[in-house]
Amino acid sequence: MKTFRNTKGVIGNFSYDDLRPHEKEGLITAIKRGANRREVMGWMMAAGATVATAGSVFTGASAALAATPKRGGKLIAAGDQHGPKDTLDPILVTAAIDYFRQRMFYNKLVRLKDDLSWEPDVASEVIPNADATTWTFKIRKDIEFHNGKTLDADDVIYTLERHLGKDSKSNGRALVAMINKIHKVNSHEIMLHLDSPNADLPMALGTFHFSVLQNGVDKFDTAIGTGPYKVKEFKPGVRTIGVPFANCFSGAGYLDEIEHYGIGDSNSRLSAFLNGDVDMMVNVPPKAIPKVESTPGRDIWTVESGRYLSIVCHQGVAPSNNRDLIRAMQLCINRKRIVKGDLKGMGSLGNDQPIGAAYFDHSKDLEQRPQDLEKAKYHFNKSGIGNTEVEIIAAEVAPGAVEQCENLQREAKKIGMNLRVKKVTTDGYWGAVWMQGSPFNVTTWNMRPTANIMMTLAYASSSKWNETFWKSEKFDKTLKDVRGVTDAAKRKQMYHDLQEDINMNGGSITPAHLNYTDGAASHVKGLTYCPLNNFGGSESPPYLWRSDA
Amino acid sequence: MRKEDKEFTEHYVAEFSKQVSFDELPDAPPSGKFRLSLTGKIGAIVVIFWVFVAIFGQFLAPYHENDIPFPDDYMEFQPPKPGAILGTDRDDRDVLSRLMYGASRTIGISFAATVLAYIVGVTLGIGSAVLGGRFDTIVSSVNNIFLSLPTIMLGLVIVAAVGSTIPILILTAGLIYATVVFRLARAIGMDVKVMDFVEVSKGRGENLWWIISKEIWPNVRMPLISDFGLRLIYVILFVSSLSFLGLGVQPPMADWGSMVKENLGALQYGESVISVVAPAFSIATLTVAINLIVDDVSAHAGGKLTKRL
Amino acid sequence: MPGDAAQIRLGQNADEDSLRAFRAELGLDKPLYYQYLNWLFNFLQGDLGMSLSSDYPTIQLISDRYENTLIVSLLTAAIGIPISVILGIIAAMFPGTIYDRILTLGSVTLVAAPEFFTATLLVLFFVFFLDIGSAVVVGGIEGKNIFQLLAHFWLPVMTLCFVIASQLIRMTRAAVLNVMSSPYIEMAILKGIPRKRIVIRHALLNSIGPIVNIIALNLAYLVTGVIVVEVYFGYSGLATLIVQGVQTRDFILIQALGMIFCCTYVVLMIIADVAAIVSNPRLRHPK
Repeated sequence: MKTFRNTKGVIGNFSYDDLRPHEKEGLITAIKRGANRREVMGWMMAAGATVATAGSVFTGASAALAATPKRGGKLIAAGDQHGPKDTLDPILVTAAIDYFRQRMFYNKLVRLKDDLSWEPDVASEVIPNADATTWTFKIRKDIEFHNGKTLDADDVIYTLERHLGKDSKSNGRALVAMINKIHKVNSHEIMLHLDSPNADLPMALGTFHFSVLQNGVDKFDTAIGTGPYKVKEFKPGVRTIGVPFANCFSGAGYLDEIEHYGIGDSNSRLSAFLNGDVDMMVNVPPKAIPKVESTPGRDIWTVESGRYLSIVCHQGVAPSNNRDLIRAMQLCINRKRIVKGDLKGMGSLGNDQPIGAAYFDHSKDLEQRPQDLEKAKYHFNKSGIGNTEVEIIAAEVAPGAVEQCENLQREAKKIGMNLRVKKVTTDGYWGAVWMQGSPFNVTTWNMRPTANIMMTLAYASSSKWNETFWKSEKFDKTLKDVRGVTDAAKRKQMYHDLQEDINMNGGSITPAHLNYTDGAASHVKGLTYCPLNNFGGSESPPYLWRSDA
Repeated sequence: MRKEDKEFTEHYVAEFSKQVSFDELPDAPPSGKFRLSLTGKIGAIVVIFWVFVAIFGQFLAPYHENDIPFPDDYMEFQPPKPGAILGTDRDDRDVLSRLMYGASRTIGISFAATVLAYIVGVTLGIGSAVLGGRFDTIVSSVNNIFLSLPTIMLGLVIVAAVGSTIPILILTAGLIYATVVFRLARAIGMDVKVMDFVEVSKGRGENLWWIISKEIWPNVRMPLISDFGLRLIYVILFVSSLSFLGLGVQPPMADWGSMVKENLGALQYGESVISVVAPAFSIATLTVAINLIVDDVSAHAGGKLTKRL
Repeated sequence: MPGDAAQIRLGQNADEDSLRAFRAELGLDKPLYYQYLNWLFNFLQGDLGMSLSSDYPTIQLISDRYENTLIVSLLTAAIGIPISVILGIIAAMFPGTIYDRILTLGSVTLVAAPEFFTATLLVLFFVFFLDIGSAVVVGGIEGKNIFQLLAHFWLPVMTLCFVIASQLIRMTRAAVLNVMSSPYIEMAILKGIPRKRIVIRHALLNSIGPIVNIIALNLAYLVTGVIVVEVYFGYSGLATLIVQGVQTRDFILIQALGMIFCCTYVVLMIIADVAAIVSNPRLRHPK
C-alpha cells in the first residue's frame, strides 16, 4: 500500500475526502476485495497516519463505496489536440480524444480493467486451446445496436476482418497480425486460428482499435455501436455530444449528456477547468498541480503508467551505433531533473529500457542508471567523437520530448560534447523523421497491456517499429520463448534478462516514464484507473456519474 | 500637353518660386535636419539601450540561456533573488540571461524583416503607383493573392515546409509584410500622384526618377515612417504567434515573444509572475520608444501645420 | 512539406502496406496534376470534395465553423471599428495634446502585447478576479439572439477589439493628419473656420480612402487570421481549420479554404477601392 498523503503532501490528520483520487480508488478496491477495518487501519498507520485519521478514512471510504451512481446531469470533458482528423472509425483512431469517444459509443469483445487484466464484454466467454493458438469467443445474445439491430457473429467477424490482410489501414493491425483464419461456429460463436501462440490475444482485443461495428458499416459520420451512449452530435474538431442509449446491454450511461471537445492550449484548458467551464480535462501541466489541488472542487486524476519518453540511437548508422557515445549520453542525462523538475513527480525514472514499474513484468532488480559525468566523460573520450557535432532531431511528440533533449544538451556541454537539438514540427514527424535513417531522434510510446507486447513492438528484430534497428538473436529468442513459460520464477528471470539486455546493449536513452495526469471535478464519480491512456485509459465513459445530479 | 499650357505652367512656377520660399509651403518636403524633442530623446535612449543589450547581451549575461542557476532546487517561476536577479522561468532557467540572449534575436529578426519588407514593398508600391498600367496590374494582383491569404497561414506553410531557422523567419516575415507595405505605399503614392505639385512637375517635364525622389517620396515618407515602427512590432508579434503554434524561434533559444508564451503559466500558477512580465515589459518599452522617435519624425515631416493648429 | 495526409493520419503506426492502401483510398496515388484537375473540375461544379484528413466532405467541415468565425468578426467589427475610428479622429483633431499623447502611447503599448498575453490578462481579470463568465467558449450557438451571442463570445471579441483598435487608432490618426497638411486645409485654417468643422467637413471626407483601406485589411484579418484567439478560447473557426489543414496535409481542404479567403479578401478590397475612388474626386475623374 502506498504512503497516504493529504493534498498538501503532509502526513497527519485528514479525512477520506482529502485523499488523492487514485488513493481513494485503491482503498475502495481493497475494501471491495474484503479488507476489513482493522487491516485498512493497519496499513494506514504503517504509512504514518494517526489512529483517528485512519478511522475516519475507513469510515469515509465505506460511505463512498455505499454510494450508488445517480442518473442525470451533464458532464463536459476537454481533450487537447483535435481537428478534422477526429474520427469515429475504430481502425483509424490515434489520439486520446478519439479513444474516449470509442468507449462512449462502442464496446469491445473484452474490456480492460484497472490492473490490466481483462473480463468479457461483448463476448460472454473466451476459451483458448492448450497452446493458445485457437481462441473461441462466445458472443452475448442480448446486445442491441443503436439502430435496433441485434449483434451476432457476423458483426464481430466484419469488425475483425477490417484489421486483417495486407491492405488493412488499421492502426491496430500489428496486434492481431497472427490471426490466420476466422471461423464462424454459429450465429453467436466464432473461432480464431492463429499462426503462432498468443496468450495475450484478448488483451490486444481489449485495446482502442477493436470496437465492435455493425456488419457492413463503412461510413463514420455517426457511430452505430452498442455502447452506453449514442451520438447526438459529432462534428470533427468542434464537439461531440453523447446521450444515453437506453437499451445498452451493460446499462445505459448515467449522464443525461456527455459533451466532449478539445482545447488545444494547455493554459486555456486549465483556466476552463479551474473556472468550472469543463468538468474534466486531459494533461494538467505538471507545474499547475498544486494550484489544482488547492482549488476547491478540483482534483487531479492521475494514473501511474508505463508510457515513456526516449531518445532513439539508430544502431545501423554512425555515430549513433557507437556504444561508448550511447553510454556517455545515458550517463549524462539528468533523469532526476526531468522527473522532479519537469514532471513534478508525476512520473518515474526511466532506465534505458521500456518496461516501467507499472508493468507486471517490470524487474525491480535491474540497477537504476545514475547520472555520472565522470564516467560519461570517460566513455565520451573513448568514443573518439571529439568535437564533431552530434545532432538530435526532436519534435514535441509528447510532453517533455523536447525538454529531455535540452536537458541532455545542457549536461553534455559539461563533458565537452558538442550536441545540437534540431527541432522539427510534430505533424509529419512520424513519417518524415522517425525511422527514416537519422542517427538520433526522439520517440514516445504509450503503455501496452503487457511487457511482451511492448518489447515485441519496439525491440524485436523483425518488428516494423524496431526504431533503434537493434538486431539481437539472443533477445529475439528469449522474447519468443518467454511467451510459453509458465513457471513464475523462470519467467521473472527471463523478463529481467530482457530488460537488462536493452538497458546494457540497446539503443535507447529512456529518461522517464510518464503518469497520466488529468483533472476531474470532485463531483465527477466513477473514475477508472487503467494506465493505457488519458481519462483512466479512456475506460471511464460507461461509469461516469455526477454526485450532485 | 499643348505648347501654350506648358509655357503657362513654366511661367506660373517661375513666378511662384519668386514670391514664396519653397520651405513655407504647407506640403513642402521637410528640410533635412531636425532635432529630437524631450520624449524623442527618451525614446532614443531606450532604443540605444536595447540595441546595446542586443549586441553585447550574450557576452554579459550571467548564465547561458539554457543553463539552470540553481540545479538542486527543482523550482520553476522563482521570484527575484541573488543569483537570479529576475527570477527563474518555467524550466528553472535564469530570466535575466534569457532576456539578454533574447534581445538580439527579437530586435535582430524584427529589424531585418521590416527592412526587407520596406525595401521590397516601397520599391514596388511606389513603382506601381507611378508607372501604372500593366506593371501596376500585374504586381497588384500578385500582391493581392498573397495578401488575401492569412499571414499566419502563409508563415505556417513556409516554416513547416522549410524548417524554422532564423533566416527563414526573417525571410518569411519580411515577404509577408512586404505585401502590406506594398499596398500602403501604392495607396499613398496614388493619392500623391494626382496632387497638383506632381502634375506641375510632370508638366515641367521632369523625369520619372526626379518625380519619385523629389516630389512623391518626401510626401509619402511620413505615413510610411509612422508605419515602420508599427511594422517592426508586428514582426515581433508574428514571430511570437508562430511560437504559440510551436513554429517560432525554437527552444531552447530565447526570444521575447516566445518567453512570454513559455511562461504564460506563471500568471495562473506561478509563485512569481516576473518571468512573463519581464519579456512583455521589454517588448512594450522597445515599442513605445521606437514610436516616440517615430512621432518626432512624423511631427517634423508633417511640419509647421500641426504646430499652427 | 514532410509527409502526406495518409501518413499523418496513420501516425506512428503506419507501415508500407497500410500506407499504400490508404493512399489509394484517398486518391493520393494519382499524379499531382490529376489530383488537382480532378479537384478543379469538381469545384467548378460546386463540389468542394472530400476532405483528406477526415471522413467528412470539406463543405461540412467548413459549415461547422464559418458561423463562429462570422459572428466573432462581425461583433468585433461592429464594436471595435467605430470606437477606434472615432478615437483616431479625435486624436487627430487635437494633435500634440495630452489626450493625443495618451491615446497614441496607449495604442502603441497595446499593439506590443501578443494576442495570447492580452487574452490571458483579460481572462485573469474578468474570469478569475471579477468572476464573470467562462474562460473559454463553451457550448453551441443554436437559437441565441445577438446579446446572448455577445455574451457567448465576449472574451474573444474583446481581445480582438484590443488588437484591431491599436492599429486602427494610429492609422486613422495618421491618415487624417496627412490630409490636414494639404493646402486646402491651410486655406480653411486661414479663413478662420473652427477646428471641429475643418476636421469633420474637410479633412475627414478626404481621408475616407485610406481609412476604409485600413478597415478592409482589418476585416480580412478578422476572417482569416485569428488563429491564436481561436486556439486560446477553444472554439473552432476557419483560421484554426486552415492551420489544421496544413498540419494534416489536407490539400483539398486548404484549396477550398484558400478559395473562400481569396473571395472574401477580393470583395473587401473592391469595396475599399470603390470607397477610395468615390471619396476622392481626383481619382473619380482622372485627367
